[in-house]
Amino acid sequence: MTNPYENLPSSAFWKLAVAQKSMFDIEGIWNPKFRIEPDQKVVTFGSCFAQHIGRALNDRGFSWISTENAPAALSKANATRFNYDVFSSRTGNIYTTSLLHQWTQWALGKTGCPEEVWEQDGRFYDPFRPVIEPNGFSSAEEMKLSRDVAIGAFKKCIETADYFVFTLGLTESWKNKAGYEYPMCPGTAAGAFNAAEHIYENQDYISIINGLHASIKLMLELNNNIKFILTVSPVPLTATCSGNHVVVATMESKSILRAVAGQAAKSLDNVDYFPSYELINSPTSKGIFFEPNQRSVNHYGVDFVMDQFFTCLAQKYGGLPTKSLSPNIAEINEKKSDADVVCEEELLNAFGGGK
Amino acid sequence: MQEITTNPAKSVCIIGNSYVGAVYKAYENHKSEYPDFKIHFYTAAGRDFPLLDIVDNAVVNVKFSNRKEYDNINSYDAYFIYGDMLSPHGVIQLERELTRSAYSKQVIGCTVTDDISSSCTLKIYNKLIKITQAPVYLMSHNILQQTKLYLNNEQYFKALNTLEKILGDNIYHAFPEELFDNTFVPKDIYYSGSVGIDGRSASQVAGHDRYHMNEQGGRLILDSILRKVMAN
Repeated sequence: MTNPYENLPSSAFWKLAVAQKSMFDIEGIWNPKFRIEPDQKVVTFGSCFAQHIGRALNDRGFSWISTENAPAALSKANATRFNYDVFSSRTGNIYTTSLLHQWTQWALGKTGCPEEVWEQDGRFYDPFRPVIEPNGFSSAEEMKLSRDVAIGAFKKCIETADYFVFTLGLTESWKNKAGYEYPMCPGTAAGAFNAAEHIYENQDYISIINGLHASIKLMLELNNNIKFILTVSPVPLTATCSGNHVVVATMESKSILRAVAGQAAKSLDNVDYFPSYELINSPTSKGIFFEPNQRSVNHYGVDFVMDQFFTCLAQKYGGLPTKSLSPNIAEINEKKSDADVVCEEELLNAFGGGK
Repeated sequence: MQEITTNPAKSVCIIGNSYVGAVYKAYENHKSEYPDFKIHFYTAAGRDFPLLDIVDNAVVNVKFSNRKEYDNINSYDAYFIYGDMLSPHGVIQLERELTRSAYSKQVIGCTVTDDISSSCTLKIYNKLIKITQAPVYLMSHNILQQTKLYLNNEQYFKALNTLEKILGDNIYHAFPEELFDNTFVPKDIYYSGSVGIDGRSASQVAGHDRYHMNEQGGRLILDSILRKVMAN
């Protein structure tokens, strides 16, 4: 009498695939759907962790592109400070699928960008990119012009990319009663909170997957060949407004996002899921990939995740570059430490985190 | 020309790029008129200029000099870094970029400051002031003229003013009014047949470009430099 487990590969069994191995010897964690060629254009957006993917792609000789470039004479440190080359255009963090849908609608001209501007001490802040410029903009017009450039650059990313990598970050969101969404709660990084106008929503599975599907559908209108690679940020929440303990809120949030990403990859041929979340967060890693604050992912974790990304690609398709090819790119990356990762959500620490 | 004398003789070091050519030619052809000065030139033109550096008390990556040894660079009575100070090239590039994209005033301001801060002139200046007590002056090339032609950028002038505040008297504007017409374009007699400098010698590589000076223009600048030395 046989049973369905008898002929399964060792990767299907915890004992063989995990317990009897060093965590660094775990293999075949990802079965990539797509052969990503070095000359194919990849864009990255989403939560903080997406920044690592863009860098790693550059580091390995892949064609990560940015469509919104800093002036050539701006130093790399200042370019990062002004959020150039952090994501493929200067959108700032796109934490939720509904924010992704909002940006995509703006890019395709399906809806206009709201007129809201946050003013504080004579400086002007973009409600949809509140920390994109240190100290804000000099005028509302300058802010809007800058956002128009970012929207145009985001559109160009969709039009030209072969792969759109998106890292799902949060389920908790803040919206205006008029229907649009902010990436951060007003009054944290900038702006002022108004309970009559600003609405908290902890999005559920249905609304998140709908937001993702709607975004993908719109992007395909612009570029029918674009493919999507989803990841879930392994970084825990900085703060929660859900009423739950932040640990419980984090696990719930990440579980929902993971389920959404998995379902999208299962149901859509042009969507894949890369398990960076599992590599960092599963029991196999024993938490060693986190900094002492148990939130930020250390560079060993980032390296481990990205090594798995490229190793799995090479194992399936072969012939892929594995290490830095360009001295210039290597130099750029050498200067970028984990401290350079731009994570707006961490600003929430200023509101209660230090108590 | 006004006779400039000093006793004992003063040694002057001029480090720079192709713009030094006119000054060098003026000095070489009229050396006898400056018996109380000994001037050494250390130059690298164009894209070689950023490679000029001070290492272990010596100038390195020199492409042309009227001295055979490049060491003991700390032994002069005065230093002039002449040619690329506050290089406008990055800002000219920024002007072009602004026609294609929009940048905030903050980004423009930081770009200009970054461009200036990364200039070879400031690199050499910062090294020289660590190894000598003698005055070190920064001299731009004919920046007013280039600025007039290509730039209309208040941020650039704001950055220049900031730098002047930081460096104070160490910035020396060596161009006498006599050099220019009323639109900051050099008068024809000072740029016609203008002189640059290449890897071998001062030569007429510049020709007629209106940025470099000819020997006559170089002599006005040389006199201006030596007056500054005398004033100390």
